[in-house]
Amino acid sequence: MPLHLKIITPLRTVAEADALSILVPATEGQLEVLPGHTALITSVSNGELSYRTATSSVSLFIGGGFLQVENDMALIVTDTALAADEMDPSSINAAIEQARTRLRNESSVLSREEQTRLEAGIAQQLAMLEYKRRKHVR
Amino acid sequence: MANLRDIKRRIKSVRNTSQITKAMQMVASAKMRRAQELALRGRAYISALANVLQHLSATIELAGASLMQQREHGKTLVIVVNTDKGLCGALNANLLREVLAKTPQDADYMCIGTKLSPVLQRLGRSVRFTFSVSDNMTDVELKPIFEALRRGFEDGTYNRVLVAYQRFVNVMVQRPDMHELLPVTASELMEIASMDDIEDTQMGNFLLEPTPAALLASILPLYVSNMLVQLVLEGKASEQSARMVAMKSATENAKNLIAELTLDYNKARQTQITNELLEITTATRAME
Repeated sequence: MPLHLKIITPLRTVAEADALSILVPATEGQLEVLPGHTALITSVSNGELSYRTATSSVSLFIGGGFLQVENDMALIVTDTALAADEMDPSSINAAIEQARTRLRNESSVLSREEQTRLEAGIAQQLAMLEYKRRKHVR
Repeated sequence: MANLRDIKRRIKSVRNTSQITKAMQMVASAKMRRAQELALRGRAYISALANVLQHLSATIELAGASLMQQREHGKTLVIVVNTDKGLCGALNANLLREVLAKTPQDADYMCIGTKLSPVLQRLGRSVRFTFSVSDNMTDVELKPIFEALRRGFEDGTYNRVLVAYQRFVNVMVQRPDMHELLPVTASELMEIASMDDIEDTQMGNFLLEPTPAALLASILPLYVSNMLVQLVLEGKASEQSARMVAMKSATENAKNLIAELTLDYNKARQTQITNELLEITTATRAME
């Protein structure tokens, strides 16, 4: 019996499929979920998520979020999920540049939380670029 | 009998107004489609988060979390999600009635949208902040608001945070509603998780990674802040649909008015022509 996978972001339900296996970038390291996996809740970090269905295999970039596996239902709740061809490197670069300039020039006025948020944003964008580059080389 | 030129002038002004309301209706309906989509999609996300949280609560005790603490002392903070612009029917008035009926006199208020803030102030309620968010707002715009209320809740200033907003039912119906944002309660999670079609099966013992505390510390604030975003999105969707409906009926009223005035105009013109003919015939008779 396959694993029912659902990936949800605030903007849309990115994917709903019956997967044979899911490879997830959990915060504790890469994690592969197969049908019959024990009930699990874990946090997920920036990185590549790939899953295999009976007919195809799909790869996506996902931002931080959560994975819940229960009774052969896998639910991934994340803030971003993008395929490689949906990303635009130039706009990502621009966003990184903008965040860096803010960090450099306004570090005195920014609150601590805001600084951490900007840094987390940069990390996510960098991870996105890295993913895009790797997909391109292959 | 009204002057011909006066009637003509009125028809022209009514027609101009109807053009404006027609344009506003189009703009609102375009914006509404977008806002509606965002609000409906957001519902799926928030209920997925609630689902995870609910399962988490089956495995570990949630009550210790700071955002779930029930306290006796402290004030109530009410976040009023209203609109920045008017011309959207009775939307804000209905919301105001709900707010006044359901919140204590000494509560603090925070307005998202600028329309209701002066009204609340005039009624003697203490309005702490007023924000306005853009139509295509992102969660980044709401972050400072969320941080402010989280701080207020955690240091014990407030023991309850309520959000008053217009719930988007469909294009014709928006219902004023109150949502208790903080403290998060188990029954609320249950209710919201059941909104989605995610099947609910056994409440097993979950394997939790990295640690229960770390999971809870990251998912609970995420849930609350996204809930706030979701409620504002609902408010936006309601605003645009209410405006569209209001403008549509305004355009229709203008059309009826133009029809009536045109009838008057034609009658007046006819009378004038008859009078002129009468004068001419009388004059000819007199000359014979």
